[in-house]
Amino acid sequence: MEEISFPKVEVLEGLLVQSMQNVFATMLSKKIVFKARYGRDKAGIKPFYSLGSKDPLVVGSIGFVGEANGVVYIYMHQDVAFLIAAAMTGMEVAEVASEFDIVKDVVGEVSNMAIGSFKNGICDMGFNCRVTLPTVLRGSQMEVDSVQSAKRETFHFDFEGQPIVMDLFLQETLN
Amino acid sequence: MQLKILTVDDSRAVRIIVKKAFKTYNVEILEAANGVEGLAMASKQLPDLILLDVTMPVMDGVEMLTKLKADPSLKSVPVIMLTAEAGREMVLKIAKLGIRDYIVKPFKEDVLNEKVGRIIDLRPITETQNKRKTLSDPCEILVVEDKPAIIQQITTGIRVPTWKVHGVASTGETIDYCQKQVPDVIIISLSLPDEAAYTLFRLLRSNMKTKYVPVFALAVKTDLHAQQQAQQFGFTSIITKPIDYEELETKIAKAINLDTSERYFVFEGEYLLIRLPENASTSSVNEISAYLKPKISEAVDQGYTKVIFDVHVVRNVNMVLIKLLVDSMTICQELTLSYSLVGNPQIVQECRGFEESKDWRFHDSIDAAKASF
Repeated sequence: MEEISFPKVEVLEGLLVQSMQNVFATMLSKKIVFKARYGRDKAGIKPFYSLGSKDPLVVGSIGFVGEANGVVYIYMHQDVAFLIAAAMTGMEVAEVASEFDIVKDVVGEVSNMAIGSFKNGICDMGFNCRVTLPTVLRGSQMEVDSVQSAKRETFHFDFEGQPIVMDLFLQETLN
Repeated sequence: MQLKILTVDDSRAVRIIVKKAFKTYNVEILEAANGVEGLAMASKQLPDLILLDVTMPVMDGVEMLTKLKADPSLKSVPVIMLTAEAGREMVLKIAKLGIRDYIVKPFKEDVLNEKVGRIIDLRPITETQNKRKTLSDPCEILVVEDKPAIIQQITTGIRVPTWKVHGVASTGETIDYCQKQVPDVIIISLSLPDEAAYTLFRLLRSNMKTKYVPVFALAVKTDLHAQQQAQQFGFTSIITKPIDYEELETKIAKAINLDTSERYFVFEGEYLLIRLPENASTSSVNEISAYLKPKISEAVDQGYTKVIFDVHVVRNVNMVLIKLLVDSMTICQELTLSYSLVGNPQIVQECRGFEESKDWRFHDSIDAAKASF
């Protein structure tokens, strides 16, 4: 049987960027602009903490398991999460800010939709996998580190002048 | 009656989006956060359509769908899957379980409206704000059937005196009839030659005049394939032969949003009389339940203090009926209304067999019940 080679990082980048842009355009009627990708050895993988920001962060995380395994963390400032939650639910920003459960739910759903689309793309390339239930964290000055065996790629986006960062940890086929 | 859509999704955000998408339509949105809650809500409320997420904790969408299709009272409720899992394998798996459609997340609200609108008659709120028709209002039923005997049977089988049945035998006659006068309901026989029922259905749905007219399919009870095909086509409901006319009347009333409360709730002198039907089926009990609170509140508003539950024509006592009566009595107690029951010896005997109703006291007649207050 012919062995399928795992897609290159440029292909994964295309899938992730398209997934994020599609979710924002469809669910929020808003644009999100891709700025740059950084590998493990490059600078810029700590967009909030290392820049000295102590603002609260909201992080959505979701994994995919199967013939491709990995996890994606989506970082944003809490105020950005409020904006996204308000745009998606049609509620006022003040209203969602007073009810963090909705913000948590929206960030989880955005993560689910974006990584769900990304996973579908990987499946179509012959690497069957499924996504896990999303998890949402809130805190400040936080980041997730990875084990050496995992590949790490970080993608920076701009959403209405504010950063949103996707951190992809990937372990190739575990067969 | 207002249509009900049940959204089953662990994400409150998605449930909020679904509610937002239908806020301009005359539908009630019911919510459940997982498959277990979804099944319970579906059994209780019998929704007209279910929007079902795939990935959920406790019980996922695939398991809920499997259980739904195994339940005779719920298997015909159309289901649209909402999923971020658009992989070919997953789509094939859920398609085999009998869904009507699926929507891949992320989705636009108008896509949701359009797909739902293909299955149920979505109507803007403004269209339904007018006074609801009642059983006293005329209703025109057009039956498309090439066997005159069936048309005759339906004409005599329908007991509501204000409902008129008109029969036609072909697609051409149907179109001509609808050009002159738009019926309230159309019943099309699936046994018309050359699959004409489906062609006609498409024509009716593509015409602005008949786009929102409820269209029922008439099929032989044992022809499950035809029934399934009609359901997939988007017929409003399926009527099976031999026809159960009580069921047909209930379905028509629901499809045209008719207020049928006068069938069960009568204000008589100083009493609110609640008449339970001969066949206390789940659908008729659900119909009564939907009116219960508003009707009892209306009675309180108008100064009524006494309620009589008339159960004497009911053929068999079952749990749904007992539950309805328990709920009704609870509402009466909360509103400090006095109530009494009217039943026959068989009903009294059967009620003794249930823990909830073993101590109920019945009167022989309405007059005796009135005298008991």
